[in-house]
Formats: sequence, structure tokens, C-alpha cells
Amino acid sequence: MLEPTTSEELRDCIRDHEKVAIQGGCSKRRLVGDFAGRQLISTAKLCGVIEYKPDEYIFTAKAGTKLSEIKAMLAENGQYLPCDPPLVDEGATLGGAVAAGLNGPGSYRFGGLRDFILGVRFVDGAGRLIMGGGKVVKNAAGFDFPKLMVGSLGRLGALAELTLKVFPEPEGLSHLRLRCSNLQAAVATLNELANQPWDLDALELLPGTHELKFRLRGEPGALDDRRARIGADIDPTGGLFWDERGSLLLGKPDDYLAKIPITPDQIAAVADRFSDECVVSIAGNVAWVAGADLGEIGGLGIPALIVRGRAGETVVGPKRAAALHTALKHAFDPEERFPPAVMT
Amino acid sequence: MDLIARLAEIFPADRLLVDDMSLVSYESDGLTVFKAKPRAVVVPENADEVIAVVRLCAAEKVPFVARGSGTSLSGGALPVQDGIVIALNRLDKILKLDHRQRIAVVEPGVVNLHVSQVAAPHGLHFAPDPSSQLICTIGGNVAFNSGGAHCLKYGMTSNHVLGLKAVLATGEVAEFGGESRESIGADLTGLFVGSEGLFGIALEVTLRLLPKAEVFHTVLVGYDTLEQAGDAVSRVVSSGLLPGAMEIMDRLAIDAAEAAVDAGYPKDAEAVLIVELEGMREQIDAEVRQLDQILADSGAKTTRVAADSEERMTIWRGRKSAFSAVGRLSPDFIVQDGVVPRSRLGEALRRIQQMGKAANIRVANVFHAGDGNLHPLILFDNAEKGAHQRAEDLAGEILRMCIEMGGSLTGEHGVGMEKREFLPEMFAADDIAMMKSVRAAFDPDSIANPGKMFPGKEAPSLALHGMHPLEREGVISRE
Repeated sequence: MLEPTTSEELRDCIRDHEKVAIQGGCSKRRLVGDFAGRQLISTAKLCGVIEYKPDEYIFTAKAGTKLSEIKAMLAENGQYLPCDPPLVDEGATLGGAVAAGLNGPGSYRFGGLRDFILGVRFVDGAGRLIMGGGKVVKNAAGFDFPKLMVGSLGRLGALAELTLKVFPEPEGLSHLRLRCSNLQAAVATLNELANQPWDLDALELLPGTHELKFRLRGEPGALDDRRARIGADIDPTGGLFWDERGSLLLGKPDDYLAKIPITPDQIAAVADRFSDECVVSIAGNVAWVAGADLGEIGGLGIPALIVRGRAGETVVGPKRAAALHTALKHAFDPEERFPPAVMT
Repeated sequence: MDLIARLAEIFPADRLLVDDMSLVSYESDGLTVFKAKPRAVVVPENADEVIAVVRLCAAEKVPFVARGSGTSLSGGALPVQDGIVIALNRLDKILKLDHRQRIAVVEPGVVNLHVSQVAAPHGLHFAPDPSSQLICTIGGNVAFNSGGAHCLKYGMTSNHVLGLKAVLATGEVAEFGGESRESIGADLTGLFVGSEGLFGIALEVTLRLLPKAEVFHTVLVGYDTLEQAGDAVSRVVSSGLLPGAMEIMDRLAIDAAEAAVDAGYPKDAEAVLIVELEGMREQIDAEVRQLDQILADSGAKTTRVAADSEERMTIWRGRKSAFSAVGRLSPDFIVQDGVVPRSRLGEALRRIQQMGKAANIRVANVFHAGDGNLHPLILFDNAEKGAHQRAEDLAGEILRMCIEMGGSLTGEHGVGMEKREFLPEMFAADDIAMMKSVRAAFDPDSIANPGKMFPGKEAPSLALHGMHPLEREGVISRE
């Protein structure tokens, strides 16, 4: 295992080997792909914050920097990353978070990783260090490589440095819930809530119990009035629930864990098969399901990313293939140093 | 068979423009200093016709430029000599409005504001709101990742596009993303938005709609110095407040705007700051108390709070008319679009003032203070010998300053034709080589909007100066 400490060393490690695979904190190791026959390169020592400018709402850090370290640094300045990527306590790194493209419940309020990434420095498959984007919150120069890298699973390039936007963290936080009589009512209520100007911080649905779980942030003094107007109850078990979301706790240890992008209209179909081992997140835009059978997950007929579980395909379900996908992979990785691309 | 004959197989005579008179209106876009005459302009009515003409161009290696309403301020819709223009205004259908799930699927010729208009009865809107939104199209917004006044909090066009279907320059029809806010794999939708027409043409765009804020609190503050205005913005930022918008205008811009629209801006202020909070009533009540204290401490000379939505519109009208208004102060002007780190705004403005003085050129300043996006307006009279060149030189100096300060050469207008020569000052040779490789994956023969974004050899001819005709009429204004 190679452990480069700088972007240049990372580049050299990649240049020196025909087939490579990059791993970060190993909190989402299955997404690295099949690393048989590949030189494993770890970002464990490619860590550290390069620049943090609270007044500019930005920070730049090396890819192997732990999210826990970044969170703590931001919190000291009253700032945070609203998209709250998961597995912080499990050792997730900044680069791994972006490469995996998994967004936490907080993405509901202001957007996901794609809406907070500003710049990237990465090593391409030809062994060159490439910059994309910039270090300011507003930038329209050049192609948007930062966005492209979100969810690219290390198949187009090895992330070396990343610049992200941050926001001021509101002082107050409330955990709320609403119990609904059945799933249909829960989905209808979810849509109603999302259509109101309530500025909810997160909005999740549990198909098994047809409950809605959500968060409110803002001025502490205003939270209860807002809660009352929304018509929701305080959720005494909220703390535990949101911690579990952060750790992607779902199903049994051996189960496959899948991330399935959906719209609210598809909640019923997913719940039909996975009711208890399912959490619908980000106002019905993604279903997390756990199951023992990959075929059952693929059988939903919706593309699913398999984040955890025994070895096998990275994506199941219908796939979209285009000549463009091959051409793009070739542009970034002409000699196929990185594992095969995932483009849907 | 020659090109025109081949085009005539796809388009009837009234939608295949080849005569000089018809072509003239397509020769320029919002960057009126350049013009170029295309061989023909085609006006498709549906996606199949767009696909057919792109495939024809791919087969014959004919360059093409897709055009919405031609309001690009960087020459994005400037025709290519010997190429054709594909005008998309007739692809103006809203294919789907799903207010329950907060999604709209639209054709590229749909006007930006129209999306918010149809979403309004459901309490929803499309957040990206460039000042040209009365006429600019979604296709153009996608090509240039258009911004607006609310970018810090809500992002730009790309943050509100969930997916799209496009015909690539190779002729392949590809689909990216979908209706979900979440996706799997590399974000191809994100790569396509802002690609300045170099990849292909969007045929259907899936947009995310947001609930309209419950209340707005809009304040217009007058200051004795630009410094104080910039300082107030810093205080707001450090306080932890996240306004929906923060805009600053200097004296020259204020005077021009007042002469044009009489929004009641403070007469003797050297700078005005507009701060707008938006959100749920209880939250805003609390934020207003905080903002009041910050503004009181900032040395504000005058403070005016919009009492109702009409007054809010009036305050914004002043800001949104600034560019056109300033344009009337001078026979010609250049609108710029650089970005500097927000905390260095004061320094950037001082340097711009110094540079303008040294070049003996007046510069008005309007900018999105919240995100460091400057819009210096460089005034000149083309009749004066050498004036245009001096203005262009000053524009170049300002852009270089932005890059040197760690900002960007463009915040929202894009590179286009206008700033292509500056791309290598912001990106290294390898970075640009990668961009070209990616472009080649979509467009191996460089037929989609060639000559834009990347530095080039051929220079387009210079043309008329001053305002876009629609600007003069007050139909559109600049951001």
C-alpha cells in the first residue's frame, strides 16, 4: 500500500503503476470497485487543511483529511457543511465523501455536495495534476470539473485537493416528527411540507412506521413558534435517529446497503418491497434500503448504488449507456489506470 | 448538394433564413462590440428538427451556434463565420409542470421568467433570476450557468438543473440525470451546464422548483464611502446572517439609475447597499433585529426599509436598471464580470478607481457584494481616437487583477468570445488541455460553437457599440 503525503507524490504513485485504486478512510470501501491486480494507494497521509477563510465562506483541504477534523474546525468559527455527508465518525475523508457523492439529510435545505464544491485538484489517468473550478463561491470559468467529480467513485481521477463552500451554522436546532395514519398520508404530507416556505433543515420519511422526521434550524427563540405553525411535534428520539442516519445504520451487518435516487412518487414502490429496512431521505429524493438479496434491489427497476455488502456490482438496475461515456472515460483515463467508470 | 439545399430538406423556406436582411439580426448578441454573419439561420420547431440539423452539421463538418434570445454578454451566441445559427426560440413549450414534486421539464427556448410565472400559482419559483430574465431562455441559462442576485444562498442555474436531454455535436442524443435531486455516478448534468454550447444542444431541461419565501425584508442603505458599504457587508457576513442578496452600487451608478427610473435612492450617498433577508416570518423577525444593529453600527447615512412588496420592487428596479442607465451616460461602454475574494472588495474597488484615473476613463461600479462578483462599467466614446483600445486595455488590467487576487475572470457571464484570451491566465496548460480533451469527447470535430472559451487565432470583426437594442428599449437590462 502506497501512502503519498503530497499531491505530487500522489501523481508519481499513479504514474508509476499501470493499474491503481485509491482508498480513503475505508468507510465506503465497496465503492472503490474491484481492486484485484491493482496497486492500492491510500490517502491516509494526504491530509491537512491547506487554507480556511471563514470570511470568504471557503476552505481548501487535501483529499485524505478526515471530515471529523473539518467539522470541528468549522464549528469553532460557527460554520458548517450543510450537506452533512455520512460516516464522519467512521473515518470518512473529504475526498472519499466527494468521490462517493453520498449526501446527508441536511442536503435538503441548501443542496448536496455538488452545490458546495467549488474547486478540485486531481491526478488524471495520464498522471497529470489538473485543476478545475476555483476558490471563490462564484465562478463561471472553464468546464465544471468539480461537479463532475462528485459521485465519480475515483474512476475518472484521484482527488488530491478540494475547495468547498461553507455556511454560517444557525444557533438553534429542533428535532421534530409527525405521525401519519398510513404510507399514502405520509407521502402526501411530505409533499405538502416540501411545498411550504418552512425552510426545513431536513425531511425524512420512514415507510415502516409512516412517520416523518425533520429538523428546524435558526434563531433559537423562533423555533417553537415555527414548529407550532408547521403543526409538528418535538421528537424526543430525534438525537438517536439523526446519529443513525449519519452512520448509515440500516438492516443487518451482512446486508447490502443501497442508495436509490427517486422522486416522492416512487416511495410506494420501494416501500412495497423494503418497508422496514428503508429510510426515505431528502424529501423523497433518495431511498436507502438494506436487503440480503442484490437481485431484489435490482428488481425495483431503478438504478441503485450498492454502498455496503459482499463483493459484486457497484450499480444494479437499469443502466444507460452512451458512446459519450466511453469517450469521456478515455479523455480522463486514456490508459485505464483507474477502475471502470460509473456513469448513469 | 450544397449546404443550403441540404438544410432546405429539413426546414421550409420561412424557417431557413439566408438573405442578408434576415441574417443581420443574428449577427451579434449582448456583446455588441463583435459581429459575424452566418451562412444561414435555421429556426426549428421541435427537437427532431434540432437533431436532424445537428446530424447534418456533424456529417458535413459545418460549425453551428445555438442561440436563445441572444442576450449573452460574453459573445456566446456570436455566429461563427461560415457556420450556421440554430435559433431555438420556437422550442418554447413547458413539457411538464409537476408542482407536487416541484419539478418542471422545459424546452430550451422557454423564457426564464416564464418558468416562475407558471409555478407561481403553486407558491413555487425557479430561483436563478438574471436581470435579463424577461427574455433570456433556459437553454442560454444552461449554456452559461447563469446567475442572478441570489447566488450566495441559492446557487446558480446548475444548482437547479436536475437533468437534461441533449443532442451532442456527434449527433448522439444523450440523457443526463433525471427528476431526482440525487444521482449515481459522475455528474454529467453538472458538467454540461456551463459548457458554453461547446458540447451540443439541450433539448429538454428538468428544473428544480423551490417554494417562494414567506416574507422578505429589503433594506436600502446609503453610505458616505464605498469602503463603509463594503465594511457593512463584512459585518453582516461575520454575524452569521445569510441574506438572500447583498448588492452595492457606487455614486456614478446611483445617479444614472435615479435619472432613469427614479427609485428614490439617497441623493448624496457615495454608495448604496441593498440587503435582503428572506424566510419564515418568525425567523426573519429575529434576523431583522440583528441586521438593524449591524447597520446602525456601520455608519449608515440613510436607511430605508421596504414597507411592502411594491416598495421592494422599486428598490430592486433601481439596481436592476443600473447597467442600462449607466449605458446612457456614455456613447459606449464595456460591462465586466470579474470575481475577487469578498473580503478584498474594498481593495479591488480602490485599485479599479486608480486604474481608471490613470487611463482617464470613468468606471461605474455595481456588484454582488455577497459573493465578490464585480461588474465594473467602463465608459468611453468610440468616436474619440484610441478610446476603445484604452477601454479594452483597462478591462484586461481589471481581469488580471481579479485573477491575481485569487478570484475568477468570470462570475456569471462566462468566457465566450470576450475573455477567451484570458483563460490561460487562470488555468495552466495541462488544465486547458484536459478541457479540450473533454470537449473532444462531446465534439471531436469542434463544430459546436467553435472559437469560444478557448484562446483562438481568428478574431471576429468589430461592430456597433453601446447597448443591445433591447436594452435601449428597456426590455432587458444587465445583471
